[in-house]
Amino acid sequence: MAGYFILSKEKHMQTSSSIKGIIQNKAGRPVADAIVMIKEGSHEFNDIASVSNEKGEFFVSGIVIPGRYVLQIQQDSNTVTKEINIQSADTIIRVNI
Amino acid sequence: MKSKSLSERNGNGHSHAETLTENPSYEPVKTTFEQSYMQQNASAQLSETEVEDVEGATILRPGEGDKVVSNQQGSASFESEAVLEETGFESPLLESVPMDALYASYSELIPRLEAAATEVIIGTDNRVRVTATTTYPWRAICALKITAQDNSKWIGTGWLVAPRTVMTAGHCVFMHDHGGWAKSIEVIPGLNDASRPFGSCTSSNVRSVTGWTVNKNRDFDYGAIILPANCRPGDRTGYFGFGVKDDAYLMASVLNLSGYPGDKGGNQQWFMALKPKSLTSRVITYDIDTMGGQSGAPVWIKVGEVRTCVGIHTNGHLSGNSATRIVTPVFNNIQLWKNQGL
Repeated sequence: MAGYFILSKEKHMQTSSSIKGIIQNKAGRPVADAIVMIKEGSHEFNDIASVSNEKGEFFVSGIVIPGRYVLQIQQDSNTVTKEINIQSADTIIRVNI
Repeated sequence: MKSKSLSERNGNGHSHAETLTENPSYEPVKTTFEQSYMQQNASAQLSETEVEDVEGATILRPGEGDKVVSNQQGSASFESEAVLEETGFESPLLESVPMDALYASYSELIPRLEAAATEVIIGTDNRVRVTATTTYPWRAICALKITAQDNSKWIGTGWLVAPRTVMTAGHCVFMHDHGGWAKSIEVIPGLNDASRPFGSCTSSNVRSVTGWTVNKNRDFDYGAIILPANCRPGDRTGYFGFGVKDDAYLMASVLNLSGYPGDKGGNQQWFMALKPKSLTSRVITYDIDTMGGQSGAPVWIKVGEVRTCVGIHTNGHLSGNSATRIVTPVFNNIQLWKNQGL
């Protein structure tokens, strides 16, 4: 019974949340309409993709925190991958493309 | 791409589905739905047993997870006859051209396709692009351009089950961290790069179930989009059938999955098929490669010309990608939503 509660508590300590990110080009300008998705993850994740806005902002939604993930960013023919280790929902991911 | 090594795959290109038979004598069961059930009422119906408090989650009674919720006002009682399989509709429109296009796209695969009597692609190149998106069933698969309540933009996939009803993942219509119900979703059947052979429709009329909207439970991650009355793409594209299949049948069947992955730009349809890897009572897990943007894609089996969706693709993971399994309560809700889009 005690084991059950320990496992249960550990499971509840993991939270599913959404993380914000910003994509910039080499000139430091925001990149709009890039598609951002999770390629791999330490936890199961939703297979939805975010599209960056005119400020270069995107989101990675429904991920378990803490967790490690590999993002793939697609912008026209450019592909960038970025490994992230998320410890807090306050994290902001910065991507240069 | 969440790809697995070839040695990990369990598909072999042969389907045993043909050896299993349907049960046409299945007795329909009367089921009553509370369509008027509202999301906010869920918290008032907590389990009578003591439960751990979990921030942000409300515990529902067993069986409540499939209660329908909607972003539309109004209430109505609903009664339907539940059956285990609902047939699809293959519109005869445009049928002559597409087969040429299909063979052009799949010429190297035709012998294997014919041998397996299914839409199977097995080999080192895991996903295959579908260019013949004016043919059935591909034209009944839709790219989704989603705008959340906070105006964030997303891409996903859906599939028609009626002239105006599009099935998809729950997280494509209700996003917990982005304001809840989607603000609007543009549905584009058969999108192929810049070509929109059936136009597009935008809707803010969406459905899901409390197991997803309240409990955020992956087992209940499914939903639907009801298109406006003047937008009936399913009349031209046809639509998928759907059904409930038992474990033995599913494990012996090749699963087909096609959708709009973001790594291909989100405007191209890509397909792959394999047998399932494992099952739970609510989830089908497989090594079919997928990427972000394919959430909501149909997972179907094909026997002869009969296509039956058995799952709704939702999740990725290195240990196997997965779909919400169509079990009886899910089937009943799809049927309910189908009726709302006739």
